[in-house]
Amino acid sequence: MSKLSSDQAYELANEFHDLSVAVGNYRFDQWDDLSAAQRKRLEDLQWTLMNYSSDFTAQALNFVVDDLQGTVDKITAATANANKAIANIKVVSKVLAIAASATVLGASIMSGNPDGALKAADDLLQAVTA
Amino acid sequence: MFLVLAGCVDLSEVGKFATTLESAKASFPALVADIQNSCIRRANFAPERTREDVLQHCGNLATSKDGLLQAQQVLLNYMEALKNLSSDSSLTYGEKLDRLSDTLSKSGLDDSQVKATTGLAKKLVDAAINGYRKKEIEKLVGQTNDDIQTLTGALKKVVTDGYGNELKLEEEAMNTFYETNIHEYAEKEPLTVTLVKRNWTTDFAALQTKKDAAAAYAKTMDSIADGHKQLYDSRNKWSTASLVKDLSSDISDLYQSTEQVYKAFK
Repeated sequence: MSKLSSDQAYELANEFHDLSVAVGNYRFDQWDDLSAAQRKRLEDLQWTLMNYSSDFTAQALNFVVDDLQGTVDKITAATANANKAIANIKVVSKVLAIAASATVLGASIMSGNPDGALKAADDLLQAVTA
Repeated sequence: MFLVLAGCVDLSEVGKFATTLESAKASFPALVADIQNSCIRRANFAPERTREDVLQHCGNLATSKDGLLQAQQVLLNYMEALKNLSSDSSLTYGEKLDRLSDTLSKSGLDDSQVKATTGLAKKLVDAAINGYRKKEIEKLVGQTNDDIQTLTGALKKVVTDGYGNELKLEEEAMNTFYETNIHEYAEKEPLTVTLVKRNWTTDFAALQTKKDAAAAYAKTMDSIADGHKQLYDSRNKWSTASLVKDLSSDISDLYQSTEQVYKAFK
């Protein structure tokens, strides 16, 4: 017999739940016509069906965990790459700060301010070497 | 929120989307633990003679607990990375650029020139960093969408079908327990029956709260799946016309700053 899928296990869990409900309903509907021993037998049967239902749920959950392993591994790897990209933003920002310093130098030169241009050039050098 | 996502996507919307899991972060571990706890509560409704047997079966539900929590944690970590990638909280260039103002003031530029120059520099950096982040998010969303759909779908089923079935069993056990008591004591002890009905109502309300939490969690998984698909479907637009549209406010600011520079230096 081939192994159950998680969907089949969920379905069986649901079917056994419904069976236990049916047995319980019958027990109460026929309460006055049943002997104490019969009520007890039906109640025990109802609990057995509930246990089976819960066991199928447990199986389904185990299958889900197994089936998800590949998916979980792939998302974990993608997340690690995303975190590297987040770290890279800090590096990129440094490069951009250098570029920004260069624009300042350009602005200082455009302003016709030789002292300012010299200072901006000095800042640019500091940004590059920081 | 997802109506907004269906249209133009910008990074703040990606960030808002990624934050939707914050509430799930706190609630899911308790919810997973409650799959087995529901079974244990059910055992309390079992006749004394079968209780130990029920508890043994409950033990079977413990096997998958760590794996489910790990799968959920992977989704949380992913959403956290998506959120961080879309926010500017990790950037440190702002302070550096602010220091430029002082340096420029000392360099002989007047106030308007300093303001215009630093303003332009900031806008340039913002626009470039935004472009980098968008590219990385686009790559991430493109790589993971199928797996995110699979994972959210599976976690939803764990809660609706798995946890949901345990809650249904708990309800059935509860109903059987109280109905049996009512049938057995209805004639002999009417007052006991009144108290039994009161307890039944209280227990049922507590169970309903858990059912509502499970439904809310399933809805969260649906929202994440739908929202992520919207990001995936629109990802390629980010680098073309939509990217320009998304950056239109940045570009507008940039234009104004450029004008300011021009006026300051003409």
